[in-house]
Amino acid sequence: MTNGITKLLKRTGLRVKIFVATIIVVGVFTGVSLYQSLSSYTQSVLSLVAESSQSLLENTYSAIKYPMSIGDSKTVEKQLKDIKDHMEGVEVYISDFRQILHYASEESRIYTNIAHYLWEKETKEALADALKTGQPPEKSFTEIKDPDAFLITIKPLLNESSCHHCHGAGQKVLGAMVVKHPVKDVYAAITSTRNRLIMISVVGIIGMILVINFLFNRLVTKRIHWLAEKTSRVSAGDITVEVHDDSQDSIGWLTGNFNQMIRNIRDRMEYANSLKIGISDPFFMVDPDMKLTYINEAAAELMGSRVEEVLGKKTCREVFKSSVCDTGCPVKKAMETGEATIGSKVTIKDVKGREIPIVTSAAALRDSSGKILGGFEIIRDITKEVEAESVLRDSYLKEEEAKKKLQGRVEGLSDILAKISDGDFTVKAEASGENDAMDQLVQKTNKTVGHMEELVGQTKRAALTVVNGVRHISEGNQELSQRTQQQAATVEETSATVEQLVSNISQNTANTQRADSLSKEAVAVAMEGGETVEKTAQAMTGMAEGSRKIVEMMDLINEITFQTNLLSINAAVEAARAGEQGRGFAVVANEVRNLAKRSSEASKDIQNLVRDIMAQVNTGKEWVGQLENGFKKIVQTIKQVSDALSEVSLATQESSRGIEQIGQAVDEMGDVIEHNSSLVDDLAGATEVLNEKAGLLQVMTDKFTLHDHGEIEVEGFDFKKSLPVPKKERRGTKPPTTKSLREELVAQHPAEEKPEDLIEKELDEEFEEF
Amino acid sequence: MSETQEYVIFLISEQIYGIEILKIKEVVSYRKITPLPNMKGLIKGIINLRGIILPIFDLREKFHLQETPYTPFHIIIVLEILGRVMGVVVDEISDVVELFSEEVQDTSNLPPGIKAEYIQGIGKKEHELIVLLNVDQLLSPEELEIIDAA
Repeated sequence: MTNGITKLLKRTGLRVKIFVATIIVVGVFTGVSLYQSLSSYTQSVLSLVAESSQSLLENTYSAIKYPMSIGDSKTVEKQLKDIKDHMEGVEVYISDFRQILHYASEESRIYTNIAHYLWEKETKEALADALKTGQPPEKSFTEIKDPDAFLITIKPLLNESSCHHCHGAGQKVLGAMVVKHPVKDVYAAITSTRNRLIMISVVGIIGMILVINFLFNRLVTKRIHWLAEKTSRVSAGDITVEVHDDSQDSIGWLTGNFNQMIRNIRDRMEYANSLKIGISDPFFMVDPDMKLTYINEAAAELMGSRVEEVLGKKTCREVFKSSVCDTGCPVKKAMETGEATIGSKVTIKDVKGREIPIVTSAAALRDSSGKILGGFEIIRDITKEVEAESVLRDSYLKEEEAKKKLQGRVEGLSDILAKISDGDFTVKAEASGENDAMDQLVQKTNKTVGHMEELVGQTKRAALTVVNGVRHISEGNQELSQRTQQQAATVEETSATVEQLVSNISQNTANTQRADSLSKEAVAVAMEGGETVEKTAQAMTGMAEGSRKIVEMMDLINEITFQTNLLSINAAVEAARAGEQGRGFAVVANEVRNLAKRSSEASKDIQNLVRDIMAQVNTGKEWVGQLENGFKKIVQTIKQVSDALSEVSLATQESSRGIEQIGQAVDEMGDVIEHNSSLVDDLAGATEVLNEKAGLLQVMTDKFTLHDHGEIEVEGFDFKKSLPVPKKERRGTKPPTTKSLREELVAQHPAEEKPEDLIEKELDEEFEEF
Repeated sequence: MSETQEYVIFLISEQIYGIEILKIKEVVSYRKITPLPNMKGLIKGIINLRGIILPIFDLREKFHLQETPYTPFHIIIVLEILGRVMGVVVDEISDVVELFSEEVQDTSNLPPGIKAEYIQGIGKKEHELIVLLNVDQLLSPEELEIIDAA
């Protein structure tokens, strides 16, 4: 019952509720006051009637007291008859103590029991009580028997002294006097008054209700209804609503607060919109059906379309054509799980079909109750990063190529150094023109070879000069043996030759020293190269170590992938067991399994790559080893050059000694002209030694192949043949004697007869002049 | 819409086999098998899986294949065969696949001579043939007796 009322109250409108409440309050209030006034009115009227009835009783009693005391029954009866005639409807009864009527306004009722004319039990008892005690009842009694109504007043008649003559003194109460006063008209008046009052009240109530309702409607209900209408528009999403109510009452404040709330909501939405607009990266929002609810200019521009073409018309799939639309859409995942997905790499296609690699982050949008309203996604275009990656790969390939090229160049340089080590100085290492360390090595090698060539050329030239000198000596010797008389001239010539020879030899020594310092420099350069190669080898070892660590980590990754796959299959098994409830879980398990597969494939690729790198590093190591060998060969070659130079130096020293001997011979030639023959022999012997050494020198220097401009040819000269022949001729045809020479000299100066020692002295002087 | 059934598929000696997913309790990586005395052939021994002792058998014996040494990358599939929980060693677990009923050929259509009671059918998926095993028929009553004895 109460529930029913509560439900009804909830269903009905505010106006109805207030209307009903007004009716109840006004009705109850007016009804109570009406009842109060009616009952007080009725009581006052009835008490008036009762008073009049009492006074009638007292008057009647006074009127009949005397006639009764003298026993004048006729007067009493006359009195009662008058009452009947004059007061319509009023009945007066006088009974004895046995309730038998002795007098009555209705004569026919005399000697009947009064109880017959009293209807109410209460009245009868009051009468009996009054007859017994002699005390009058405290009030009058109303008896209503439709259509009649009477007010009954009872007065007991006491036995007074005036009555003793008839009734004696034995009886205390002689009887009672009862007046029945008709109150039918009074009641009718009361009823009509009541009806009128009720009617007026009803009209008043209706009027009040209407006025109250009108005022309520005007001041409260209408305004609240208006506010409700506006709030329903707000709840439907229209936030442009503004309510105007400047009253300073509660509803006015409510309206003001409502306006403030709307402003706050607008501010929040503006704030959210500013956030959306403030995102410079491509950004879009979708509803749960994946239809685009927002897309910014950057995203539309990336996809090659315009915002108004796609917004609200197309789904996310139609616009972005992502590689993961079917397999693992980040937004869908975010909306299903409620968790944000961050940083997944996918590929999308713009309207021209161009593939764009992106990194994307997505999250679900939800209302305050946690219900998913949609999702959003932020996209970052990583085309440039991907390009940079390919550039890095290209540079790696280039480095590989450079390494190969370097190997080729090292091999080429090695070949050239091998030729140089065989004595061929005509070769020249080619610089690539890149001016790198290798080119510097080539340049320095070429420079070293150039210096060496120059040195050897000079040595060769010196050797030939020596040969020349020897020829001159030989010729001089011939001349000496053939024409001793021309000995002075020959000695002069010999001396000049010797002088030249001395100068040549000193030059030779200087050149040898220079060559020695150059070879030291070359050794330093080669050592420097060796250090570079050693550093390269260290770097290669570092790369190999890094690759080995990668392989170790790949083992760990493989282990994790294997375990992940196992877990995913177990998850699939559990999902299958769970039946329909496990359907979503099965999808997740499938995704995890796919991930594990992809990880496994990726790790295999990486392992292959690392294996390739390790192979490359090993090759690089071999090359570096070869490079080291090449440098070792360079050092060896330079050492060989240095050794050759030592030998040149040695030969030069020997030449020097030979020249000394020549000098001595020439001295001796001047000193002891008479021992000319032996002098010539000595000279010949010394020349032979010189000849041998010069030959050795030439053989040695012939080992080197030089450019044409470095060659010195002495045509038609064979020192091996030319020298011994004239010696034989000299010995065979003209055996030289000291005597013949002296005779010749004496013959040239026949006039001067000088002692032998004087002649010798002159000879010495001549020789010194020469 | 035809019916589908999920199978866990695995490799033994490069051949693909499949078992209904609901027959499988779980899959675990290979762990040391404790051999039991006087056991040879099919039953390899027992393992302790989270406090439960499981008998382990190797289908190579049953399929007349060459035995190979076990590595940590071998897999033990925990199965329920006629109420008995036991493990089967396989080379590699590859995937979970869903086969439509028309992708499965039952053994009645196989040529005579290659029919084995434990082959439930042959699944065809992307040019690969999957031998679908009937787990409940996998072990003969005699073999089951040996397992029960163990």
